[in-house]
Amino acid sequence: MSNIFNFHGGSVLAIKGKNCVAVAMDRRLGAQYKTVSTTFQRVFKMTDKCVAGFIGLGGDVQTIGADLKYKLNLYTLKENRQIQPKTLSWLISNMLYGRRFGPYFIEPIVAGLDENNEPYISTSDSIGCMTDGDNFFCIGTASELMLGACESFVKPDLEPEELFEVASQCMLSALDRDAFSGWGAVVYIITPAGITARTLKARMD
Amino acid sequence: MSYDTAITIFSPDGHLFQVEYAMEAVRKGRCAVGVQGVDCIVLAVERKAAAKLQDTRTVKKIHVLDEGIALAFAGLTADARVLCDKARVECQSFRLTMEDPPSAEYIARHIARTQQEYTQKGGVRPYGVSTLVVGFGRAGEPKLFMTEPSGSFSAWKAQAIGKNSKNVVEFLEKNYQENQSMDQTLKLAIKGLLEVVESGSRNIEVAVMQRAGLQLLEDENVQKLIQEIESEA
Repeated sequence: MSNIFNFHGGSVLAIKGKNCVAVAMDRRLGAQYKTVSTTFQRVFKMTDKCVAGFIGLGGDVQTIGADLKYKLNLYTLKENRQIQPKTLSWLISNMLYGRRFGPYFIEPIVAGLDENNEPYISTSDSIGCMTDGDNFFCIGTASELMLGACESFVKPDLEPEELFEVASQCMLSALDRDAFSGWGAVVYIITPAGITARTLKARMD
Repeated sequence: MSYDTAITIFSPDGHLFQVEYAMEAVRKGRCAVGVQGVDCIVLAVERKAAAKLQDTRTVKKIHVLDEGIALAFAGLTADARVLCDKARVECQSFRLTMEDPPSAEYIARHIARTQQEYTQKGGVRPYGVSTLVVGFGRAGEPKLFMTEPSGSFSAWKAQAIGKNSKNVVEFLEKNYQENQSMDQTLKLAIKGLLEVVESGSRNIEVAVMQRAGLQLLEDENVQKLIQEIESEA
């Protein structure tokens, strides 16, 4: 019980490509060493060109996902347009800092294309310190493993098909090693045409 | 002795004057008409002549509250905006706690309850707005509800609120038929509004709520319908 962020397990990564972004998540939810679910959803569709993924405590992941849907629906009605990924990142950052002294035990990743189809990815810590300046972000129990793999394989301006391969391989290799992430992965590729999701089979443990 | 300054007080003969004055404000507002069809509800509203320098996008009388629920109002625009925002938040709150979208009836009742609260709380005045809330029921049947400044809430097959609404209601009572198609319902709603509004698409805004969502009609489509109505006459 030493680290509440690792209790349920789970990992998410996001990589920028050429006019596209990839987000990969694992499917495991555990209670430390025990696996409880193999179909846990930790990436949520925000708009037709943007998703948000969360790692950490499962209840907080689900609550934040639902809360964001609430806030986004009101935003869309008021503004009469879809939210931009950068704006969503700040929205989440403010939500998290709002609970500075009783935080959500999660870390978010936001990935999408802005109104000019420029790729955008960002992440933040559990109390809202947002950062969006890199080509890839990896969070979760397998984050260091994924970071190592991404560092080797990620190049700038990858096309959607290549990006899918890179994201899948980085995620799969990390899942093989991390005990608290696994049971398959789902990779989301966001292009100007929309969001496609592909499920991968990995070491199912 | 005046019994109309503090709304928490009844007059000796049982009137809540502030509520009645609020209804007066509604009666001065631009007309809004709602008509049910077999699978849709049409909202037709009187449009204010746009000032030359104004951006007409920002002046709306038909508001979307949620997927499948919309509202048209008559009365004070600012009060309607606040009521609309409260209703939108309630829609999202319902979705969050019930994991299901709210029905049009639930939201109409919520709006009515809010309007009633403002006739009993201290230090506030009633909302000077009547609303027409449209949506669909559990079995997919079209629904039309009206709320008033008093907080009363009722369901209708066709209704009109605002300036000269009595004339429109009379017209609707004479000409309404059950289970009309969307085209017939559109024509009836526009005809009803044309009883009290000058003809021309500049003066009328029309929207249709179908199960797929709310669709605001383009000016040229409204103009075409008006021309068809005038040629049929």
